[in-house]
Amino acid sequence: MPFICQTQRQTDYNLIPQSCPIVIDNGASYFRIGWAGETEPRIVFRNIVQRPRHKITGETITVVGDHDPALLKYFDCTRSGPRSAFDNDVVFQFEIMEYILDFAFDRLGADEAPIDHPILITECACNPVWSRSKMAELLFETYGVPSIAFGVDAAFSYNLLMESLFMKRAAVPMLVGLEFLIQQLRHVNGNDIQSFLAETGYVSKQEIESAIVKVTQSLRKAKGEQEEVEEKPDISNTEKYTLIDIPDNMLTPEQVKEKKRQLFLKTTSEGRQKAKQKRFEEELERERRNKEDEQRRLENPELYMEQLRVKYKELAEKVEQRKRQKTNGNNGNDNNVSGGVGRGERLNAAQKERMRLLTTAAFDRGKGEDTFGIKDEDWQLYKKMSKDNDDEEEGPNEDEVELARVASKLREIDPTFFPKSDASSSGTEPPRFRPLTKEDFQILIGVERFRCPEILFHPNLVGIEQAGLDEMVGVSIQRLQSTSQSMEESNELTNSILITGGSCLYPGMSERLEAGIRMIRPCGTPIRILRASDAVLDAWIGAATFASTMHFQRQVFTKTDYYEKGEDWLRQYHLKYTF
Amino acid sequence: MEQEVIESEMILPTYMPFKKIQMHDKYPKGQARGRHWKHLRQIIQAENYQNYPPHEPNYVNIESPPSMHPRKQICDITGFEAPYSDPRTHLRYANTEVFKLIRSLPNEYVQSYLGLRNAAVVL
Repeated sequence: MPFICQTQRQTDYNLIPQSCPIVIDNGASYFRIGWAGETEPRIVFRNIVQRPRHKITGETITVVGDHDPALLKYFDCTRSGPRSAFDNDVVFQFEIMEYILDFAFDRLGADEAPIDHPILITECACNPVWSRSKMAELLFETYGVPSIAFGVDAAFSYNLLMESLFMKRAAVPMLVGLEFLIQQLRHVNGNDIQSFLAETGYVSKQEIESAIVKVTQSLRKAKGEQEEVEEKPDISNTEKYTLIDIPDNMLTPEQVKEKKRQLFLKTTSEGRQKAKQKRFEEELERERRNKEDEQRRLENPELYMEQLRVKYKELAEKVEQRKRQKTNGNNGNDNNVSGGVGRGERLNAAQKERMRLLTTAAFDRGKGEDTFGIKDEDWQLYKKMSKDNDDEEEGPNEDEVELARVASKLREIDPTFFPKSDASSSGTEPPRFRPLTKEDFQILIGVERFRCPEILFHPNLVGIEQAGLDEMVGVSIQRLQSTSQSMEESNELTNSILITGGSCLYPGMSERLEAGIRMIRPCGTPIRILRASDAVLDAWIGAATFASTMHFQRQVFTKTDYYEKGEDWLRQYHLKYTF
Repeated sequence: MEQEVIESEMILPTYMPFKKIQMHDKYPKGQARGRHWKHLRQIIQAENYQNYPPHEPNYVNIESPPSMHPRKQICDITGFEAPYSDPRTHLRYANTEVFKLIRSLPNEYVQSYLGLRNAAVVL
């Protein structure tokens, strides 16, 4: 199931006869290359290129495909994410394509002279001519390939073909060897599924993680500050407070200034030391209290727990009550216009004060006239009001601090303890105290297993306004029917649907597709869906078998062909597929 | 270059014997290469598909049409079926707990959930 990369350098390049074509499956996810007539590609790697800079020497190197990520530690990868030559299944960056082809031919064993074998390379259906011609140019000019054939990767299979590759979904009905009508769901692609998964799964995780990160950082900072402060007194002690002891009248004015400075320094450093001392003592006090607590706990665990629980409950209730009074609707104010108070929302003290000031100002002026603002002092009113929303930041008051402390204690010793209202108070304190369980290393994927492949069938879930796979199949058969076909032929089509490509490996895909198609086609049509035997490699294998047949020879075009006939001819160039 | 990096052979060598023109000749150092390449949109535009007869398949006309079926509405947060939507943020939700959660989300999360559905406000 997991994709493996084979990138061993092949040694038998020179042994293969010149007429044997090289078959390349240029996919948006993986690049496969091998010889025609074989059962599997020789070289398989991810179709991406990275160009990191070496940290020490500064040179830029190129890395193609997957590799051991541990080796990248020598390189600065900030500016060089993995880049793909593809833009939604069409090759557009030929420089990257060149790197990839370089790598591929190198690993295939090519070592001298131009690549002298005909090449069969795959592309997406109806590849724009620009891309095709650039590819042909690249192969002819830079590699010296004698002849090329382009084929649609989906087409190396039978009848109604549904391909779900990395970058596209294609329903390609093939009749009598010709491509008849093609529908493609361009925009939804496997990439989408991955990014969708990442986002849904992790937007929620992000919150927790960022909270944890922030907390550890602040913790570290607090610790760091303490250390720093300890250093400074040492430094200042080495300064000489020489001048302080000499009385004033014996010094010159400059020295007096100097003395003042030293005095200042001395007092501040002394102050700092005193503060440190006090902190130290507090620490000791806290330690002592903790020890006492521990003692109590060890002596009589049950009783201690009970006491703690009771205390917790009381505190929790008090806090809840205050919260309810304060934030009866303030939760929604985050998204709202700040300071706005809607219906039925209780005001807290600051807001009440503001209201009072405003109403008195508006009221006790004129008899029916509003003379507020004529005198300058009126505007001082606004200074009396507190700023917007600073009622939100009262800070944890004593009760809450106590609550948190008790909660953490309980959590440590009582395995069955669940802190109440964890949702509201979590995010700041709990991650600090809780020991790391194995759940911190797990990523939970539940609903996402269904949501993600579902976008293949309902692209509306990601905002793409196209029909899903099942509907597309139905519509494409219908369109075929309207042009020429009869019922039997379309029945034949639905009777042999083949799905290939990496995305078809989702469990239950064929059943889902069958159910979908059955809903659209007339009642009783035979529907049979086959999964390709080797979904991932099937395109390459089909291409390889095709390349080894006689027909291939007649389908290629050479360099001279290309330059004589030009772009327009290339537009008309289609491979004739035969079975 | 460190030994293990060389041994792992992950670096692409700069000289390839089978190539007629080497990379460093083709793309001299120091020039910005990225901007030379046309993106897909520009490629399609340059192709002028409207000049060609419409029944021939080409890159643009084989795209699948919009769906005829009614949309499936799923909760943006939990993934369950969501018959309701929040008038303030336009997120879909499945039940009251999810609604509470939605109302407590700061705006960036709201926009990123909407962005998943391609419905975020783009300024």
